[in-house]
Amino acid sequence: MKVGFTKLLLLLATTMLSLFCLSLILPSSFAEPFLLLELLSRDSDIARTIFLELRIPRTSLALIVGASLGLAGAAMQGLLRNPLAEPGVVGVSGSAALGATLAFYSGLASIMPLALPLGGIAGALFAVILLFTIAGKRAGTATLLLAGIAINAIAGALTALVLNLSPNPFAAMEIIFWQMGSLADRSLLHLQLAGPLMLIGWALILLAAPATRALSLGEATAVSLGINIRNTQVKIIGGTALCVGAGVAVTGVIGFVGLVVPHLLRKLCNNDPAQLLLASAAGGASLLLAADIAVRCIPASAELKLGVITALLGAPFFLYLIFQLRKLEQ
Amino acid sequence: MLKRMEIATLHLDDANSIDALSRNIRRLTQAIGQTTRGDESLQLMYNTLAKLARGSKETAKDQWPYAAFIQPNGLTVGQGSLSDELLHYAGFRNAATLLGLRTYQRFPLESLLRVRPDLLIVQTQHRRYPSLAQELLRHPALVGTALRHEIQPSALMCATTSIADVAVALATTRQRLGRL
Amino acid sequence: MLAVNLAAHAIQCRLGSQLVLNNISFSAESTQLTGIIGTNGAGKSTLLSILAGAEKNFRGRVTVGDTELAHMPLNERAKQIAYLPQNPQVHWDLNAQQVTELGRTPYRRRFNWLSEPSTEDQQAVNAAMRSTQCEAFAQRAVQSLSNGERMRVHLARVLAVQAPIILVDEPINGLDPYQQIHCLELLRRAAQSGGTVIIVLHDLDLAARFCDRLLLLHDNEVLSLGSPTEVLTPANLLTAYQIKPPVHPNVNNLNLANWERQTD
Repeated sequence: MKVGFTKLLLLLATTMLSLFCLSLILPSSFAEPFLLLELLSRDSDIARTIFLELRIPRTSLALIVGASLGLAGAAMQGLLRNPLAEPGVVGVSGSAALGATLAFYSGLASIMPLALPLGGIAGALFAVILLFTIAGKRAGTATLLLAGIAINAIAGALTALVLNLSPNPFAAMEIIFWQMGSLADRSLLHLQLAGPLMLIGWALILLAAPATRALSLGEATAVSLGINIRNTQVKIIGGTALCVGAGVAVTGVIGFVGLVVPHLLRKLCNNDPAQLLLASAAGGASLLLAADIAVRCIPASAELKLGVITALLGAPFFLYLIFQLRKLEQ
Repeated sequence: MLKRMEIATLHLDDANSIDALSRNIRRLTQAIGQTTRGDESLQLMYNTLAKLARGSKETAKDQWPYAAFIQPNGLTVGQGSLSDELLHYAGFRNAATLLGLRTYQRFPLESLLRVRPDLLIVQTQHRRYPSLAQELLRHPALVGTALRHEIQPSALMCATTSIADVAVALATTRQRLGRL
Repeated sequence: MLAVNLAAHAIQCRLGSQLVLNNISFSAESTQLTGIIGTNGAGKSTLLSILAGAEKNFRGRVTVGDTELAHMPLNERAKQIAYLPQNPQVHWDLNAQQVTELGRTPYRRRFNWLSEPSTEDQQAVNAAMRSTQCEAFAQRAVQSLSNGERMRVHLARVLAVQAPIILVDEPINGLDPYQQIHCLELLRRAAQSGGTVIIVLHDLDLAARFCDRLLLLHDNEVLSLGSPTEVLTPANLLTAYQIKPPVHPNVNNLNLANWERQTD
């Protein structure tokens, strides 16, 4: 590990932890004091409830979902060798939302809460496998993006259908949550449901890290260097499905994090796909924590949705990346 | 379109106060020729409300308990609406006014915890099929924080004279609160 | 380097409905540069990928020394055989040094992937880059290098593996004569230091000049196997390539550029 990478990782980790602490104690408006001061005072029952039941779940979820999105983005790019691969762009997040909405609005998640993240994971898994089948071997950018468009379109339409068909009158409007994402009012239960599954996903992806390095030279060479391609594919596909699926199930679709973060950090990691995995996790967590602080503290009559902020940052970035890639492919 | 089909139509504005509601009822009963019944209904409503108001005034207004409307998605009801007026008749102050929230604005959970209203007014839930909107009310942070008063969604949907019943029910809950 | 030979026994390969290789048997010895030649579609690349262990869909056996290739663990095979496929890719902006370092992948400890390369690894990488003369552009992105420079980086990566068997598929496509000769000199040197080197190529003049042994494939079968003079006879060339010698041939130099096509 070059000295550069240790410094980078340390910097990212510090940023992430600082934002985490900041988000825990920052007040939502000028009228309120810093939560820390409240906690330290005597009469702090309410502050403690707010801290434990509202701030901790929200901030922790911002951290782990952000880390998952960054990690999954870097992993998919490493596997597909394409810088445009990202869970939102290629339809994995959209499919996760479909799986989660099926589990939730059918009432299944009310009987068995674990069904919610499992539904998201099932949806995500389906999409990654489908994507890999279409765009796995030697597919160019165009094929990858087209596959993503198709998967996103189908998943989006089916999600809307599920919401429309729900007998509950509020369901139809909740498409906004699922498609724009939000961390508001999440509870410790959501953290407990999604957290462990995401951790398993992280472990799987990190196990495949050395393989992503060898894959930089193409599959045939990687095989000759001793990489078990099938194993690597299973780990990255499975890991991505777990992280993204569990995350989307509790926060809705938050896009572009896995696109922007790896791209920004790639040069700093010396183009090493393995180092990029760790860096993207820390970077993704930082990005989402910062975005959530913005959402919570910017005064607006309606609450800004998290996915809107990441989209405002990420979509122009996406466009810029496409232009860059087209230049390279010519 | 209905006008073109020469079906008699009457356009009524949304009633956001008791007076506006009376005006609507009077116009409606005039149009269908049932003015007597209409007037009787209105008189009954006014009597009920006046009785409630007298009961509420027995305590000073700054001693009244606070209530917050929490509708699905955390949306609240602000000052100057029909529901708000009913609250006053029942002897409650609207917690939304503490934060300057208007109708259909979200009452943030954190603020709700800080303000600590004595009563949460919620809609009866669709038990069988869930929605995120209703899940909000089951958030662990809210559980056990305040007494809840349930209203059927239909009760507040249409502004008819039977909304006086809503106020009566609220007043009864207020008495329960007083005994706690 | 331990002398290991690579042998193919009755290889038969069907891809889709096509029979690509039929009953291929031969062996490549150490210290020898063996060339596989034949027309396009004769199965040369497929044969090489089978020998490298990259293609599993075939009948027959491949042996490395006394061991069956199929029974060799993946990591062991990676240390025994270094393979450079046709048109090798480099994704991301890796520089020459990083690509060469990837040749040490079989030796990197699996769960310690964030650590620095070991001294042994560094020495192997430096030696490989020195012998292919890549040091001058070690820190430059491979995608920005010229064709010849890029070829040398890929060869450095192959040499860094320090495997006794080296398999290279058409490395000199698109290179100018100087670069072609340089590349083949490097490979011949690798063979002479004890390696078993097999290379697929099209240029028969260069094949005759640099290879110790040739395997000529035609119609998915072995047409001829032996030294260049034994293999590159007019009869074989007519059968394989449909070309015939000029009226006054120069015995010591094939000079194929002057040959004419058999058109009936």
